[in-house]
Amino acid sequence: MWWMNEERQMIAAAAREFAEQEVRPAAKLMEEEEKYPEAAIRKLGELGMLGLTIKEEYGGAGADYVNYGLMIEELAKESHGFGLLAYLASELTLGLIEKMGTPEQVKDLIAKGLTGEKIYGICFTEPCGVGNPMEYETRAVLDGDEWVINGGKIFITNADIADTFFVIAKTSDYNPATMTGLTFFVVPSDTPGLTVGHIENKLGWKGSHTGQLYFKDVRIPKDAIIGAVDNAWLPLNVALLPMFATYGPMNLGAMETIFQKTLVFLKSRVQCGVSLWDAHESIRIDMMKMFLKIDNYRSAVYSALEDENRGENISAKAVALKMQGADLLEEIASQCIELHGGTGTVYETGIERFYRDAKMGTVGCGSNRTLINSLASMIFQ
Amino acid sequence: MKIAVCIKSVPDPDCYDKITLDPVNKTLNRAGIPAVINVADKHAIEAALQLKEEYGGSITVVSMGPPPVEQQLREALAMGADDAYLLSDRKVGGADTLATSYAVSKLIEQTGPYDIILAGNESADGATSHVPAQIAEWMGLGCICSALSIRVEDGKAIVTKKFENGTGTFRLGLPCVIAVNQRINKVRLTNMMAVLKAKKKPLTVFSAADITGLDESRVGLAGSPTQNGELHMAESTKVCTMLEGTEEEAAAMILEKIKPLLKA
Ligand SMILES: Cc1cc2nc3c(=O)[nH]c(=O)nc-3n(C[C@H](O)[C@H](O)[C@H](O)COP(=O)(O)OP(=O)(O)OC[C@H]3O[C@@H](n4cnc5c(N)ncnc54)[C@H](O)[C@@H]3O)c2cc1C
Repeated sequence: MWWMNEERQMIAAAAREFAEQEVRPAAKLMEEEEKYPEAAIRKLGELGMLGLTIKEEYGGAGADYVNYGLMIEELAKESHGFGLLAYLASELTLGLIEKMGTPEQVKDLIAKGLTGEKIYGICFTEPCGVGNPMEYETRAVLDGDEWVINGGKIFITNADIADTFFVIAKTSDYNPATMTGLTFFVVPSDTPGLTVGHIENKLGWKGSHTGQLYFKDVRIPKDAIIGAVDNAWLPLNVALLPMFATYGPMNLGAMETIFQKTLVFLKSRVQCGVSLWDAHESIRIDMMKMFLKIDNYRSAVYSALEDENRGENISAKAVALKMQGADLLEEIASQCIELHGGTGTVYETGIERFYRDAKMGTVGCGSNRTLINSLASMIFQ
Repeated sequence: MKIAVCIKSVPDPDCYDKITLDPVNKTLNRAGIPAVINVADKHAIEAALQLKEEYGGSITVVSMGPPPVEQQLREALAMGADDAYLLSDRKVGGADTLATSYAVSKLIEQTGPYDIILAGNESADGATSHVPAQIAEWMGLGCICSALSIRVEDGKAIVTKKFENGTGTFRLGLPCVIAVNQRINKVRLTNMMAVLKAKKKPLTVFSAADITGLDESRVGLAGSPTQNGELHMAESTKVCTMLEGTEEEAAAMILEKIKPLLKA
């Protein structure tokens, strides 16, 4: 593969070792007990795996995005949901501060995030819908030297885990033409007035805690904002959208695991002296078609990450990777369950959970149906 | 304390089912099988890291092999070693354990002196356990194999070693050669920062001509008294018999089968 070299092989091997030793047992507890994999996430920090792409001068490893992708791919081979949580604890949140934070925020938030000492969450979604900022009800009003936030958020990952939230709130009426009126705030989770509500019992991404947050007269300092007042879309566009590309290696890792497990099963499941693989041409054709789709997706993922390395704007590609990857993962998981027969539907076989996670990927952090509209406007307008 | 660790690049044991035999040349077909650091050698690197943490000093990894072995040396640097040397030359290729240990001992002499020379107890592919003891012999040093713990006291290495029925503790003068048992430690996970820094650490490749005083009649195929005999793929002769009938009947049949074995 053209993007591989000696160093990247070592990064992938180190991540694989971590995934096998740390993520595998953590994933079991995520599935069976809904346990957030706190120890494994903090260990990622100890081993320099949080904020791999963060600049060396900020304490990061200064690695490129392909290296980061290889790491996420290996983590997601063990658990798609763990891949998501690693992404949230690293490039999504730390990358946001790296690109848009003040020097003080960089010093404080990045340093503590890199080691895994502090874990962050990002809050957009409200009952009115994430893509409907016009009707967002969470508002922040300046009172002397402090912002006072009131309102509520739903479907927030790390709701009862995060030490600090990056919260979008209205600071003036939202103007859809200029996309202004929203501001990004930095809100520590122990700020008086901020409470955690119900944690959802979800289909998949088990062990990631998704829940509600209530803001009642939550007071934060005037300078606890990311970017400029009324302009939350800039950090969103500059920092968050390109990092949607992370769903690429996440989906890829999951697909690879399911495919490999299925291949091993088909070759070892013997009926009347012949393996399913040898007995049925239709099965070999199905597997080959899946192999080619995964292979094409892999090329698309790493070519986008290489574009990111070159400083190109990959937002549209990143959104496409998230969308297409979620659909492809769902398709592959579905077929591989069928190819396993009854055992495919059993939790211990280790495939059905990827099917559930795939469905989460088509909705969480931007649903496919919404993203396709955004993509059309990104590309054609 | 200056520590050298001898590492060997071996075909990934996870891929052994893909290795075939070349009946003509009596060698293994390794094409397409990724190379990795021999597992026991990783434990030797971990032991070196722990010694360095305890007593300070530096860790040098050494290996003999073809140029791609540089990759395994880089991995050792990523694990935390400070510098690396590879002896790579057609003249040293095709070596048996005697010729290998001679060439490696010369590489160690050239890049040393060291206080402790560590190695894995055995390789995953050859598994003779010859090389560490032979290196010690060439260098005139004391040697302990199958080490389960190592510490240094009053300029001596205190090494606990595994025997068939127990353990024993030895005191060795430095420098010495210690081959570690895989149970000596748990190899730590690799730090990503260290992986990225590994490319900047020094890695030197020597040819046979670069090694002072190397006796070329003792290296490579020419210096190897051992020649491969016949090679055969292991044939699995185990058969699986399906027992028909109810659970009770099947249990009775199993009992009938194992009774004679119990008497023996
Ligand atoms: C597990 C999980 C974790 C999440 N984590 C976070 C988080 O950390 N932070 C956060 O802020 N949010 C988070 N979310 C929220 C998530 O981003 C939204 O749920 C998702 O984007 C869908 O938005 P919605 O639920 O508001 O759907 P709605 O807006 O209610 O839409 C419902 C459906 O209608 C269709 N639809 C809506 N709008 C359009 C459109 N414009 N074009 C075409 N079809 C449309 C789509 O099919 C959509 O799925 C999370 C969600 C989940 C499930």
